[in-house]
Amino acid sequence: MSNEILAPKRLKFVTVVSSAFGVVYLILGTCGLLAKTSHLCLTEVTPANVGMSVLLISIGAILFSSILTLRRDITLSLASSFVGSLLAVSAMVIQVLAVGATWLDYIINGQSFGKKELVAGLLRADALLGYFMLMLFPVVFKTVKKYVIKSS
Amino acid sequence: MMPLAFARPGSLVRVIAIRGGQGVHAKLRSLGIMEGRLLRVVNLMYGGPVIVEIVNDVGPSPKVALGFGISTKIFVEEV
Amino acid sequence: MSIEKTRKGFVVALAGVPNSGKSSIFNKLTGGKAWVGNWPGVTIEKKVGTLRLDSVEVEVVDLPGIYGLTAYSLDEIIARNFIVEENPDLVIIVVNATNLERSLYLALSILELGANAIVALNMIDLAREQGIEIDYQKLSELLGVPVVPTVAVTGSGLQNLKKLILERAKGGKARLNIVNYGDDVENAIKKVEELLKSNVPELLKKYPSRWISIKLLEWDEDVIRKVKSYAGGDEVIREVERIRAELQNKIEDLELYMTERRYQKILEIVRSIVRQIKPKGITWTDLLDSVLTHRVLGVFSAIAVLYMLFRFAFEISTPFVDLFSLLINGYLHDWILGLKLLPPWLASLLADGIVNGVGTVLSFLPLITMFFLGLAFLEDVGYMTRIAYLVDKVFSKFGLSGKTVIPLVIGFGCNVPAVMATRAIEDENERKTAALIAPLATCSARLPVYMVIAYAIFKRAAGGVVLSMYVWSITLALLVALALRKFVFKGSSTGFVMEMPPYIMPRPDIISMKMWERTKKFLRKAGTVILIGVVFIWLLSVTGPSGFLGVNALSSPELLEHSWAGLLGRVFSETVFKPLGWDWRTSVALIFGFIAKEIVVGTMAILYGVGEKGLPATLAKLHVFTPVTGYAFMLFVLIYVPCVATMATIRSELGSRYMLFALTYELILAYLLALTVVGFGHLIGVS
Repeated sequence: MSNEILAPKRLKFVTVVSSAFGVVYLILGTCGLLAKTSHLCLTEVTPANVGMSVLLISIGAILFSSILTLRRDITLSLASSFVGSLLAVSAMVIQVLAVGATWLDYIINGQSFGKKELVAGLLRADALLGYFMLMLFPVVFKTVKKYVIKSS
Repeated sequence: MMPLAFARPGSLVRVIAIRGGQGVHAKLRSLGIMEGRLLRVVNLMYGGPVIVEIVNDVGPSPKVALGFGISTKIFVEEV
Repeated sequence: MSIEKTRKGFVVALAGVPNSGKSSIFNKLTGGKAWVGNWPGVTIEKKVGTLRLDSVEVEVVDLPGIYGLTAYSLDEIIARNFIVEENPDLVIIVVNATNLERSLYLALSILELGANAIVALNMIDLAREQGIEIDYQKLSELLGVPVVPTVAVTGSGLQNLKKLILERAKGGKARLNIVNYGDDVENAIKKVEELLKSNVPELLKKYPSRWISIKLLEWDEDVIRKVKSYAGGDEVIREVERIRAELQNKIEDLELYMTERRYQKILEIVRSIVRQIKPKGITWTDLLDSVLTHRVLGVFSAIAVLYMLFRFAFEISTPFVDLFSLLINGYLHDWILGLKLLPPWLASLLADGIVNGVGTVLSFLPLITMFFLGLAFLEDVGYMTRIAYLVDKVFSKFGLSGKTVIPLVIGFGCNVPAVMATRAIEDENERKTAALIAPLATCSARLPVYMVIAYAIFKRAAGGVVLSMYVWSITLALLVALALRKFVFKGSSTGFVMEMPPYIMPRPDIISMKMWERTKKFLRKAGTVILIGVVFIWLLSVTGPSGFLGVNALSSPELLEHSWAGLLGRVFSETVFKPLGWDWRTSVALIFGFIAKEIVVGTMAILYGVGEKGLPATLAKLHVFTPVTGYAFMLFVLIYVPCVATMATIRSELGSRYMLFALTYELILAYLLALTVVGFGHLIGVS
């Protein structure tokens, strides 16, 4: 296939980094599920929230699979990195928007909005990890763009 | 010869025969799936639907998802 | 509006395969204004719009998206009957440049029908992106009709198309014999044509003889019926049977052979007009699909995407929802009540009845708009078809195809457009099943009810309890579907066949249009039906057996108790709802909730004499519900009639019989399940 035109170093970098992030997503996702029963995790970053935990685990699984499929199917491996980081960035954007919405809602209802809540919302695991993924995303995107047929 | 539903993902297959009523035939034919055609098996869920792409030497053709019911009626041979 | 030709103008039909951009062309030609109705006798949508061209009025009829013109699908029969029987001045065939083979199959079928046609070669930009260039002049030569390249979404080429419409609508004839079926079949066609000429000359005034002959040789049931309806038709059919038998000595499968000849011709055409300008390789679509349709990773992706869609709609809309209810149910309501000019009963009707009711419905507008915005984005990108693929395996176990997932997902926003969206399912039995289970998708209006009760009784576990309602919703929808397919809509399905278009960057104007179309359905149905319902509730609340109770009834629980509404609540809570342990207030809320679930929380707030914000605390303090009766109440709200508007939609889609059926099964199921929960609770000693 077209892996000759792709610098193997770059491919490996993308795969390894996104899989590493995948592991972090999986761990924090599990933390969210266990937040109520265990004190191992920081509940500031991973509050007990089923939805968030499932989202983190889903993203983590996709990102992590990148390294598992690298040998067998480069397309799938690269696609996992790409889709995983795209979802991770979207999750961050949604969380930031949701914090903004809550803030707006407080204003409308005439309540004061605590700084603490704002910070907690912006530092929640899906947002926090998303900031890093936002930095990784351009690299993944460029790699994938080189891999698919160029569109003018 | 085997039903399309049990083909290998990523493989290239040729349609040998289509079983089933005229409705099924007509539907598949108007999508360009008929005896003799080459299909690329894009992805499949075991016991579920199959995504195929009709292979020809000209231009692209969008993929089609076929349910398990229909894809067991399409008999193919790997090439 | 009628389709009959008005002498001064032209009638133009728009035909094309699904995903050919036909709707975009229709919207661009008619300016988006369309009259939407049904084709006679069926609930397949018919859109008609008008186009003004140099003082000439052109009526544009949008035909269903189809792949061919066989007699096996209702859509295809409608399209071909329209072309042959209504005889439009011109047929515009929209050809998808990225899907030439399938598009040209339809194009050839239409040309064979003898229609005066032109071709709009659409999506040439996408084709170029995929690395192919199309010689459209050559295509025009080969088909014998004019071809205009277009990019409907940007409007490029539309001016040329309009010019051509005006030019060709006045007249022009297509070549009937583009496809040569080989000597044997061609001779047979000639023989049948002769037969038709001598036996049923009347028929040929309406239909082209070559087309009828081809269809007869292909043994097209619909055409056979048509021929038989003329005197002398039976004889023709007998003779055709003989000719077919003769042919089948040489050609085993006649229909397959003829389809193959058509495809051979198409490949010949495609080969001579297409030039590959870039090498083939992995495309973006291939790459994304390797994950998004993966049997494991695809499911993870779908979970993530849908969860984010829900967050986007439900969380990010909250400030707007609150703003709406503050402005309408707060300021506007109080302002009207404060008007000294109006008699108190009128002020109350306006403020407590109409403004409050409309406000309650409108406060859902931001949520629903955002939900449909997100959904339109996913649909336009091409992702929803992948979700349909992913769920097909599970859904098929319940007698549904994967396509049903789309109306169900819409239903989580609002059931009204969900029922309408079932139209996209071709299989009649499956479509009806989908429309009848769509109300089980727990719409956004039901969520506040769950929230209030869950927070009142389950405190910290509230989130999980609310989530369990969504699980119930999906499970019940699938189980009811299974039962319906087993006992009511029997018969195997025609199967899941769905084209997976390439992913595209969606265009904001198209997304916003799609979003607005669905939101409009919510607004129109909800606005009319629910408005009447709300006024009715107001009336029941301010009057009672003793006559007019005064407008204070609405703010005084004591007075309300003596209203018709209160009385009704008592009757229910002491009879049917007695085993369920719901008091008269909650019973009233349920009765009113029949109109729309938006009303339930508001009614309870009034009856307990508190605001909506204080309701959970009050419910908890007064021990209105035990965990068991509360959970049963939530389940009941989930299942029993979503709202009057949804029922009205089912009626207009499937008829009164099925509406009554839906009503009955939902009420029975809701009651039985609530009863089971309460019974089970007593059994294990939770009360």
